[in-house]
Amino acid sequence: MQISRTILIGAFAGCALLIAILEWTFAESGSLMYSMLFFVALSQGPLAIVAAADISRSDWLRAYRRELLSVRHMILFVALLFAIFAASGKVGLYDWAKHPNAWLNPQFFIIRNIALLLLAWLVANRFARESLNDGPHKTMWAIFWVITFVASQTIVAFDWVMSLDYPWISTLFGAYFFVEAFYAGLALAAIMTYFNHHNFVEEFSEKTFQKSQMDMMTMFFGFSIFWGYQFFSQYIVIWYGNIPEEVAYIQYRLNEYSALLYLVILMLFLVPFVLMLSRKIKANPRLVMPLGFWVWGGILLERYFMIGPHLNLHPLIAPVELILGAVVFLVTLLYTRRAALAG
Amino acid sequence: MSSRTTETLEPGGHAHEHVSDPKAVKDQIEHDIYASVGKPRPLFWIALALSLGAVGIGAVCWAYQIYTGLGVAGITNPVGWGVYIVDFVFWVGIAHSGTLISAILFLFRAKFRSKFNRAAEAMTVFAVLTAGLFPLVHLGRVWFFYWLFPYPNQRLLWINFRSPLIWDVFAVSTYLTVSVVFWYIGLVPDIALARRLKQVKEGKIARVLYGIFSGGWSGSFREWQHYGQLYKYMAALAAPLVLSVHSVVSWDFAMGVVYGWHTTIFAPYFVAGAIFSGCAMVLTLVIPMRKIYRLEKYISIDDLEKLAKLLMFTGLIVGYAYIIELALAVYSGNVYEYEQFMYRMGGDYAWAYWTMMICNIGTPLLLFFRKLRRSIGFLFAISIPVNIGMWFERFNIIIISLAKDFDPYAFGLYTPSLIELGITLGSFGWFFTYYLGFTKTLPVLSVTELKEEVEHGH
Repeated sequence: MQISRTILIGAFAGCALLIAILEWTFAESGSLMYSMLFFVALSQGPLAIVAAADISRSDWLRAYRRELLSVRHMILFVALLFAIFAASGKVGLYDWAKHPNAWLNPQFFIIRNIALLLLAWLVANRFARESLNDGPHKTMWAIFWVITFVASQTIVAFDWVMSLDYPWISTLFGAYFFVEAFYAGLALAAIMTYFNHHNFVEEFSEKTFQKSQMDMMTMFFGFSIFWGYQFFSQYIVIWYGNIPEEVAYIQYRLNEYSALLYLVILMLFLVPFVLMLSRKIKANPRLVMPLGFWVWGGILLERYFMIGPHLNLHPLIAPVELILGAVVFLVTLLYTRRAALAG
Repeated sequence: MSSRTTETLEPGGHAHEHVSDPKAVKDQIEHDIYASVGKPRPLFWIALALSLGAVGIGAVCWAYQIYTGLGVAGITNPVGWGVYIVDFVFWVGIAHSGTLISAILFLFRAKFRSKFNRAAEAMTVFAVLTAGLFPLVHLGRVWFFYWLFPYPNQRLLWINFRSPLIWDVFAVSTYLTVSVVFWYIGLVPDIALARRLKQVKEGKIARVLYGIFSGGWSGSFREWQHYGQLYKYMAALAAPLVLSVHSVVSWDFAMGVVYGWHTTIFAPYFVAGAIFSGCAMVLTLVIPMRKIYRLEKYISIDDLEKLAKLLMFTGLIVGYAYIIELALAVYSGNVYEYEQFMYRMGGDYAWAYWTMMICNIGTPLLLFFRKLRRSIGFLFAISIPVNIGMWFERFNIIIISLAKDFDPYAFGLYTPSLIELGITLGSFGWFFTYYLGFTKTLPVLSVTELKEEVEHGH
């Protein structure tokens, strides 16, 4: 399917308009934050994988480069969503907005987040161009992207999520977010393995692609362990320390959302870990594809676990906004594919 | 070296594919690497004498401490963990790059690992052996050290499994076991080769020992097949240990309700810090070794540059953790947390804090310059401040947090005593003695892997 620039802009504008109408209609709903949190991981993580491969001059990426870079315009859409979130006065849903301080005050919150998302989009674009054309400054822009990515995901973690529980802090939160974004990117690779299998094989030899796929899925497997490690590292310290103001965060969630917590551990760690121990599963595009969606599902549930207790997620609006976001995500994927083929 | 092989093994060259006779190259590799296992030169004896001298000083200090009591150390209330625990964490940290380079980089198929893995693995084993001494040194009655382990006894007493210190006993002993096994597996074919070296004469004890430790390795196709599988599985098993050991060490602190200690980022931050210090120590050891044993054509500047990049990368993670800890202490508005960090930056130990910051954040940034990254002298020079900075990182975490706890009545300062410094010096001597012994008895580069590279070049 061929997607022109007009369709891309149309999808951006149309979906953003619909979301804006929904946001203004349902003033109490914090659903948009939910979509933003999900798509900010999906739009930035895949590029970080390419950057990691470019910096380390690895050859395991091979076939996936273009597919992973193609999501970059989604960062701009997330910035647009954030602008809608801010303009519809949703920053007021954060408790600290009533008692602003030097760091947590609505104006600065909006300015720094929009600025960082736009910067991320600009750097991502430049990096993608260098990486696709094998430009002379590829490594330099890959480094810039990694720095921007880490900064952006850290601010997302601290500003969008952690500040909901202010003054609760967890120093690992930023790292937790960028690792999860990377994991989401690997899930995208798993999904593309199936849907783009035909193109991959056409472009590279079957053997080259299989090798690349195996490496990528081994990485995916590795990140399931790494996710489990990060989750445990954060949880054990808070649980063991048992300091009232700190443990309240997990205690409340364990009481109210325990089933969800176990489901998240199952989805993001246990199932991917156990299944991908098998070489046969890693090598089969038909089996890794559902695993990719499964991990995305886990991330989606986990983000609900984080913000659900604070932001009022409308049962109808939240899924609608997610679907609209998914449409734009798909259009972005297809658009860049077309542009790359034409180029 | 023949002219045919000179062009194939020049520094930085990856030109094995041009070799007409791979056997000649392989023989040359054997010859060059095993050359170090020869009669020691005076420089070696001087280094060994210095190291043994340091061990002697450390041993005398420890003996004096055992005889007199722990009071001769500077540790007292409120700083009950002093330089001994700093040394323990420092040495466990040093031990990290070994597993990273041998296991993780192996799984990532990073080729430059073959230049460092043997030295890094040896370093790992010796560093864990050094680190393991410090919990013992820290004990008042060291002869009861076995109380640390769970063993059946008449009074049905068990260790406190809920204490992170006991997790440490398990984590570190597992790490030591796996590191030794992994190192040894890599060594088997090389030891088998050493049996037929000219310098290892018939009937000599060395020959007998090489024979025993090679386990009857004959180098048959079947043996190589099994060996390849075993090495891969061991690498996969060892990889999680890179994360686990230093995470558990970090929890010795993070589980405690002490400001500056109790923070969630500790586990990954300690792991990154450990790899950072481990890479620095590999540079400190390998650069002189490369020169003394004339291994320039095997360990090229390209290889060293890659290690420098790893150092830079882990240094950036450590820098990120420093900034996040500080930023969130300010953000949270928690007075204890805030005061702890203000005290670190401007209090009694500010000099230690800024030493750490300059050494660990400032110096790795210089590696962004390609010219500096490719200067061997600079790489050696930079590895020293990183080692110093990482020692001070542990000093800051342990000492400063204990010196300024919650209650102003319990604030107090700590100064290491000469006995503590003597034992610290002894630990360096202990480590270098082992390392020097290693360079004279075993091949310092993996001959097997270098030969494999020649093979794959074809």
